[in-house]
Amino acid sequence: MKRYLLFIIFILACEKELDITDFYDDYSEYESGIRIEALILPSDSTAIVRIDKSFSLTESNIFDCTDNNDNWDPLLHDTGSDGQTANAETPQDEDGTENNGMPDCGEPNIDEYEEILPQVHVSDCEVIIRRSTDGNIDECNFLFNENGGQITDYKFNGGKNPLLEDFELVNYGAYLPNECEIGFWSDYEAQYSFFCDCSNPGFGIITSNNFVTLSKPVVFFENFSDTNIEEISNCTSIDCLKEKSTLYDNGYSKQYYPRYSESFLYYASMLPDQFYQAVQFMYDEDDATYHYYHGHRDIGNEFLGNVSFKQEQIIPEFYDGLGNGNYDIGEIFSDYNSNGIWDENEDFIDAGDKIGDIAEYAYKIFTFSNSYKNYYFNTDFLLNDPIRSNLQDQSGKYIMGAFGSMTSEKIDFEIIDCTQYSFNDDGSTNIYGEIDCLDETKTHSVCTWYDGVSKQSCIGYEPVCLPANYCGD
Amino acid sequence: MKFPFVLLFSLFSIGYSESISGTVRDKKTGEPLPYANIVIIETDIGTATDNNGYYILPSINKGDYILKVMMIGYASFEKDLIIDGKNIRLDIELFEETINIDAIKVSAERMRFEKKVDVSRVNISRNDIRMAPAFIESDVFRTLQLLPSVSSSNDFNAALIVRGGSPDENLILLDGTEIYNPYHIGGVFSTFNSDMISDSEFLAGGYPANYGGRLSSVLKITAREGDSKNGRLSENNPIKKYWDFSKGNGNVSLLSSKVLTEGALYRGAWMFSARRTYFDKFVDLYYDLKDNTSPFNYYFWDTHFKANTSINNTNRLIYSQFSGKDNLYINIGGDDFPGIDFDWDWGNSTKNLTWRYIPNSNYLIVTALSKTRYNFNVNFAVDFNPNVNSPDTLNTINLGSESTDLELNIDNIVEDIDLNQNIKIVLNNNITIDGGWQIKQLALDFERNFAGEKFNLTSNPQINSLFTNVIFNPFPIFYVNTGLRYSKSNRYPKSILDPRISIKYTPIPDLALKFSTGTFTQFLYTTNEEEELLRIVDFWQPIPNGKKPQRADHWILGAEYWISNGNTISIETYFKDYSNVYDLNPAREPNDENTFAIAGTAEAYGIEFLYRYVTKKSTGWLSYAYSNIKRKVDLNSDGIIHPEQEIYPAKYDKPHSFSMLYSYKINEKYTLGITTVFASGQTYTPVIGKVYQAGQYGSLENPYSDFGNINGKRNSGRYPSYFRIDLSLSKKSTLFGLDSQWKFQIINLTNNYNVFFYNWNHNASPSQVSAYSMFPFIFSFGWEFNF
Repeated sequence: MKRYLLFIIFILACEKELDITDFYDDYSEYESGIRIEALILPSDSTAIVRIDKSFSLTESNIFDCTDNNDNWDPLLHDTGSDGQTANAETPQDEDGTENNGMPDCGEPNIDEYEEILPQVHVSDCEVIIRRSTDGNIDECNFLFNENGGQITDYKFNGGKNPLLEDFELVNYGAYLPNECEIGFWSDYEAQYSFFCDCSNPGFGIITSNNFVTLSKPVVFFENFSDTNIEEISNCTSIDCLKEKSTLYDNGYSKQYYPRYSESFLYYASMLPDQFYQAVQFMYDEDDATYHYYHGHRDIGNEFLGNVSFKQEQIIPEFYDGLGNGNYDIGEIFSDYNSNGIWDENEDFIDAGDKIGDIAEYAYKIFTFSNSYKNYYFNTDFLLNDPIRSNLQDQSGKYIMGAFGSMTSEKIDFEIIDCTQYSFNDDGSTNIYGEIDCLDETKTHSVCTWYDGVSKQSCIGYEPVCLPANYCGD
Repeated sequence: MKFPFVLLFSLFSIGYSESISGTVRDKKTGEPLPYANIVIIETDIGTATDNNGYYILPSINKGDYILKVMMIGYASFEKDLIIDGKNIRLDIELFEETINIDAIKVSAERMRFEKKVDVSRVNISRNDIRMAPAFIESDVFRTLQLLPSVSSSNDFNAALIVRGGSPDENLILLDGTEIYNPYHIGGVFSTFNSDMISDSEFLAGGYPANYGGRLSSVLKITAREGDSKNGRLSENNPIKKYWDFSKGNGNVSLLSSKVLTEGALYRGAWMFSARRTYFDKFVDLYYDLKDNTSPFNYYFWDTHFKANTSINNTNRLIYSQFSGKDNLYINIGGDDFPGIDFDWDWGNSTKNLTWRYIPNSNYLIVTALSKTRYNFNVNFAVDFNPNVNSPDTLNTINLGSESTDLELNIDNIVEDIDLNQNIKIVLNNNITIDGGWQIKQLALDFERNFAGEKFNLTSNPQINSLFTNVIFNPFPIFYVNTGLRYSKSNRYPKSILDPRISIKYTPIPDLALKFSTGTFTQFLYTTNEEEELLRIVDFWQPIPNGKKPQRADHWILGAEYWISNGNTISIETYFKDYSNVYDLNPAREPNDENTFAIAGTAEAYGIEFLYRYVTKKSTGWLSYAYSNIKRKVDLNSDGIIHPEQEIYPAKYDKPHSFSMLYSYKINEKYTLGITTVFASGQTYTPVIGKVYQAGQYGSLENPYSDFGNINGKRNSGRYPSYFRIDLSLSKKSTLFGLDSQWKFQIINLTNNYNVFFYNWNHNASPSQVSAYSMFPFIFSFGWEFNF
């Protein structure tokens, strides 16, 4: 909310670029450090350790404004320093960087992840995670891998909402387990500790200052009613939660939700696991993969007995991300002959429209070990605050980062647009509407046929296929 | 054990001794005149009217006397009196007279100087407020911020920071009713329309036991009662006896208009004021011309109504009602971004009924019942496909959730019902006893509804208090005000006793030495973050159940020298020891209200100089303050105080502050006003490095979301010094047959770049930094008229 009020203030407040040396007294004594995020991922039977450098404000190498990996295209990426192609709403850059035929700071594909991340990673540490079970200690060594992890990024498409094909995976460097036993990472009874020798790059030996136990996954439910809440709240173990779930059967079947409905995802976890990360993925039919859509922090709504209950609202919408394969007015194109209009064979960015909208998604809900919860949720504190970090060097100094675990559980779902089973393309009633509407193979019991709905007077009472829980107001 | 009975008997018997009492009013308008000076010539007996124009001269021996009443701007009044063993009720009316400072040796200020035992007190009149140049609207808060004991965090925030105390430590009273969020437009203006203010009394510390529930200061605003003398209805109009209209005035400026009307009521008077901004109308007009819907809009309005009537000579009823509302609407997004509708309204409403029992004796009883309600409501709606009008739904049915995919609704209500009674007994010329009780019932309700999830926080704190002050001067040059306040809250098992004492010693007639100490307790706090740039709304919470209330001790030592004719110079030093103060807990559990607050301690000290001047043509003041405020809070609750982050100067710590208010009457037509502030910049937490971090709002999956700040020692940086000169020029004229006044104003005459905040961009080598400023040079004008 404050952001939008600040937006108003910006109208009155004048911006002025300052010389960084004016702040010399503030930053002059800062020495580069490291940040470590050591994360056990029990659901994936693995772990990942990211060790990165921090930088002084005066460093001069990371962003060099040059195309170091030869992927800058003057036809598409010469947008100028604002990163936006000039159009009716975005003026031409005043600094002369737009359409100047050379890469500039701020343009797409300049100083991108691929160019920056290798400078950020610290790759020559010795990393070990130890497991302690019933007095027995074993350990897993890690090796640095340039492609240790992946993040989702968006290709530049001229400033439009990212299309599905604009999503791309970017590799980053991280330490991965070196041929360790798969079961090593999902021992919920064990205590784990972290050891890291970064003497080589000059950061010393860093260890976790407490043992970490793994958080247990959430269990999804069809819904929460007064009856089953009481039963669930009596549970004292994750197995009990699974028993109470009608959805769980060594995994979860796909769920269906009607478009334009108020629908929820229901899940529960055993306390103290009450902090969550909810991540939505969308399904790309073309390559049968899931792409990251959005994620956010969350916390249980209700706590009964030893159980945390949570209901997550589903956004019952389609992602408009495929485009239609044809050039449409307003889409960005490469105007080779400079005639100001798109001509056949000229390249264009196929902006999304409603055709081919994405209806299939998945939700992953993560739970956190206490240490990683502190690191991730206490964002008002410094990264090396003692309450946020559980990593210390030999001198006892806290190091930015944390060692902990995140355990996930996944469920697939699909949005069904019931109304498409009501009408023909010309708006007339589909005589087969009711049959289609009630066809479980098509609407999966989330739609109902209504003989007469009078929401708009000009329509009158029309038969229509609507969400089953549509209340008519 | 006999002592209390003897004392009670003495009070009772003295209560029926000879006294003169009554009200002093303006002859022309009938409005009460606060702080008029009443003396009995050739005796030491004298007093001043209170802020309702009431006075009591007790214990007068039989004999013949001359009573004299004086006040700046009014002709002196004299009357021969014979005291023959009976109490005298004498209501007095004074004629307005052109100010002749030289002729009046003893002014109201002089009376305050001599008689009042208040430490750190300043009275601001309507004229003081109006003569100061102002951004859009003259404002009592902005004028107060020119005093040495008060500062603000920035141009966009009118909240008062008094001697290092946070804004929630100030008790703001309008006609005796507490106001919980006294700001418009997120803190840019206060809610008080300056036209309706009769007097504003500000106590920056060490205030008497009548006031409780706050740690730092008291601002007591008294609204005008209205002109009861110049009714325009004809004498034979049958309703004239019950209601009449006397006069009105209005003001039209670039962004707002206001009006004030007043007149007579049956044995009393009424006053109504209203104002509204019309920025929203300009925005609508602009977008109508463009055939678009406006993407944002804002307006506020407020009204104040006050009426009083005398049931008889001894009973008077006063009703005061205030309502104000702000409405902000923003629509962003669309096309390439989810559409977001942001609709926010907030406001205060108060009602107060006061019964003043003024017997023909040496005491008075004031009983008040008031209700105040502060509410803010936020609606935040996101539509992920804002421009998709799918043919499959557009012409069919209006599905409820089609236009909104995700909604956030916040509703916060603070309701305060207050019943209190104050009894003032003037035992004799040397002893006054002031006591009373207060029952305060609060209802605090916070409800958040987000994505179908409801979160509700409700509490009903009750705070009952008893208080007494004894004001006495055992020697002519020695005044003491000693008091005790007893409080009990239903959220804390123990009773609280707050003793207070103020002493004034005048070794020579023109020099007053002052000392004050006392304990102050607060049962509520706001959960606003200290780092906030804009004080958008106040979110009030009671102290955590069973936890100690907030507490501060004040120590104040000062001297005030009367130079001549209202020209005074004063110096005060203070030390405030906060032994328990609550802040928003940065590691709070979202669903556990007992973790919302975190207790800490603080220390504030400083020294303040104030020179107030009055001449025939000019008035104003010069002030300088040195102050220091340090906090000590175990922010991460690990049981250890980490000096770098947990002992720190407060955000609004400004060691040096110089300010000036100057008004010069050039001639009968033109008046010039100047204000200047030159102060140390506020503190900020410096950025010392950068590191890749996950996104703040959920993108945990991308640990390389952006380079984020590595912060240094908390609040160890300081913005550049703040400097601003504002100018106003008013010209009296007649326009459309109306007596009127043009007012031209310039804000930040030198266009000094006062830094609001810094913003770092780490996506560059080296990192880049830019500053955002507060108000630049702004010109505005307005037209005031009387009708």
